[in-house]
Amino acid sequence: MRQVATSSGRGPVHSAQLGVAESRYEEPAPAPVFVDQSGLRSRLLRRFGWPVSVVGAILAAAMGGSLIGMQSDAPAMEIPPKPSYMPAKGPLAPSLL
Amino acid sequence: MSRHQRRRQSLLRPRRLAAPPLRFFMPLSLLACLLALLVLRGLATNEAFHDTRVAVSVDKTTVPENLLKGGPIIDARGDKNDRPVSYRVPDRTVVLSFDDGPSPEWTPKILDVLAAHDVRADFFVTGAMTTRHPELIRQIVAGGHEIGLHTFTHPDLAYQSNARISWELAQSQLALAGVAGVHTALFRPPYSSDASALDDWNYPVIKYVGSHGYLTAFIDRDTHDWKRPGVDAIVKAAMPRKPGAGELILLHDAGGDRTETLAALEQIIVKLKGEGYRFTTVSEALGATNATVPVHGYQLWAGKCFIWASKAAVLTVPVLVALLAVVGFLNFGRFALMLVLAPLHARRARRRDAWGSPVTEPVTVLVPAYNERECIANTLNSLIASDHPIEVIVIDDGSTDGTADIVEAMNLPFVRLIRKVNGGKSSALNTGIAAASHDIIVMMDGDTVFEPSTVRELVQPFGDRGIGAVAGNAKVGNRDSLIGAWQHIEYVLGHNLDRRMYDMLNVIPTIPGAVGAFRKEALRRVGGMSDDTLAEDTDITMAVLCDGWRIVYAERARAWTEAPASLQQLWSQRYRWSYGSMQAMWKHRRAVIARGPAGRFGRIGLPLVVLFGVVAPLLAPLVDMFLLYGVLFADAPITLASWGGFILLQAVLSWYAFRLDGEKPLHLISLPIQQVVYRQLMYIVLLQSTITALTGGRLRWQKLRRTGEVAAPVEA
Repeated sequence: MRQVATSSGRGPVHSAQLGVAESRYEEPAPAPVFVDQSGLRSRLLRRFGWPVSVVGAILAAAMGGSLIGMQSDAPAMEIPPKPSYMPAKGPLAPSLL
Repeated sequence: MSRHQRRRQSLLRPRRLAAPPLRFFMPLSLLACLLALLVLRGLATNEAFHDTRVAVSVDKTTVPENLLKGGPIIDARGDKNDRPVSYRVPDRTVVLSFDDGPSPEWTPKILDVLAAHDVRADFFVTGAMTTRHPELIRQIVAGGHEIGLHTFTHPDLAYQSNARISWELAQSQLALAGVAGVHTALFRPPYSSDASALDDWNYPVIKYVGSHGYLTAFIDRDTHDWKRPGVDAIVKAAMPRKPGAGELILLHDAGGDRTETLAALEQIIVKLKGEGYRFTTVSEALGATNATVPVHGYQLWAGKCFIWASKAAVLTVPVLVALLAVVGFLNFGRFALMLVLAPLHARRARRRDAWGSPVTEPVTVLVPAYNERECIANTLNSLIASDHPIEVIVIDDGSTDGTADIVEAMNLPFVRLIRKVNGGKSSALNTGIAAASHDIIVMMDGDTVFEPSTVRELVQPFGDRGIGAVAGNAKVGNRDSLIGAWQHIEYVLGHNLDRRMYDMLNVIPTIPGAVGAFRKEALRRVGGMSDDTLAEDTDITMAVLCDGWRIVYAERARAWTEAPASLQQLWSQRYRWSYGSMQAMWKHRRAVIARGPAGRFGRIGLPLVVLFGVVAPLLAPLVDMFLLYGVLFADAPITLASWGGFILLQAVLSWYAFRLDGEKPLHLISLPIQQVVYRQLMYIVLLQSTITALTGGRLRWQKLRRTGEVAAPVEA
């Protein structure tokens, strides 16, 4: 079994050994893709995301609440006792109106 | 898709998620809104809670005689609840009542006829129709007519619980308050006729609504106008049994063509007016106070909000349905593509001479290893049995668990060990590429086990000079747990359908880190492995494709890997995969406008991967919301049946994939459960990594715990 000891293991060295240009793309990509070092994007999205989520939650709760059906009672309605409207037995009662 | 199981800790430093869980709160609150909108729309269109059953009348033993023989209006309110009384419409008085409306087509015409004769009537409206046509309710109220409740969804209340009846009343009142600012004290049960039709089933309903303060208005004369018996028949049915007797007439202003009703209404009014009848409303006929009462304050605003939300729901749900259609189109499109291309690929793969003369030259196998104490010996032992000449280079990436010592102690003649300081998987592979003696480089993971023929099968396609890389077939070794079985299904499907499809289109987006081979020349031209992304395998594959090389799938080059055995490990693995794949897609986004082979990949491969791999899974929660809505609120049997059909289709596809791969279909029994647990987990992971990508946060890193369970080729 042979052993090859290498002093350094960093990528660019080996890329250089392979004899190729570092990157075929315009930007040399100092940070990994997507990573935002400044944290600005995260702050912006959070500032935007919280209100949206809270409003969403309130709306969902309101819409959910409106589906529960709380008030099922009828409003008051006064009916004066008039004998002519009571169930008639026998012949038709004469109209009082 | 399947790849090597992990990457290096040093790539991104671990960080605890300090922020409040906005990333879970936001999707959940939006999904809750979505479900609420679906239900609101379902109510407005009378789809939710719809019940078409109609009870047939039974005994009347509990109904008091005075009600059966009495007038059409029954008062069971307050202290009359124990002994309800009924009222008749006074002589020479007629009350016209219209049920089931309002209808945008017929109600305005009926209102016109009534207005022309200066007649006021009663409209028993449903909550659903009220919600959908607020302006009609306002017209009815403005015309001096009276509104009564006819429930929200028009079910036969004899079948409904008291809670449901109460909900129907409340929801209808809410809708009325929202559209016209009124509540009403009048009620008429759906499917009702005259008081003599009261029976043991619907009498309790009348008492129950009475206890809520409602006056129930049945009818004297049913015109059966909804059956469209002809104008004359309707007019005849509306005439009083005894000349001069008061009557409450039933007509309908919704539920179909009301031309006959409209014509008959004109004649009824003229005829009865000629007989000296006066037309009025229920409350006026009784000399009572108005049944429709204005509401204020909370009731009014709650109603307005309900109507606004319903209106918004009716407008937005079609958009959601369109998105759902997009998901369906993507899924079925993918199925169709697979069904066409996978068999073609399978036929090609069966041809032994597909790649020209056999490749027999020795190749280099790179085994990057970072803390692989449990697995490395198994890995190297499996390589001893290789039936293809190989040189193995183990690159120990600064392991701290003595992995390198184990390799050294094994003292295998064909193995070279390179020890280096920890620098990440990409740098380890680049080290290995630099040290490789041969022109073809096979890459595997330190936890993967090859079959004796794997390397030979994997490198055969290199007989074709245009092929720059080959993807192997990674298999899940630990498939006997539920979570292992799910991943097994996923791997088999991913390899045998998705990858074959991508292969036929020449846009394979990922060569799994566990088993893949590259031409050294191709690697050199694209600059070796890069650590720009967490998915260096996807990144390098896309780079090789963009460079104009062909990449193919060698299905017989099987490699056995140990899949994550716990949900937590699976979560962190998939988090990295989704995130890394998206990084790679974003990194190669310029390919869309590039010329030549890069442009081909950018305009065919990239859109497919984005649509099938990102868009469809991100929209998948929508499918589950519709499913939830369908089961809970709309038609559960139909929803479950169509969902079952979809699962069946998937099962058939999976079974075909298993057959192509020579796997026993036993593990497919967990497919239905996979659809309700695993699928959701996968899209939640994708959503979370998308959020991480958007916020630009660094990814947390967790190492997969190894058990060394996958020891030797299972079917070598």
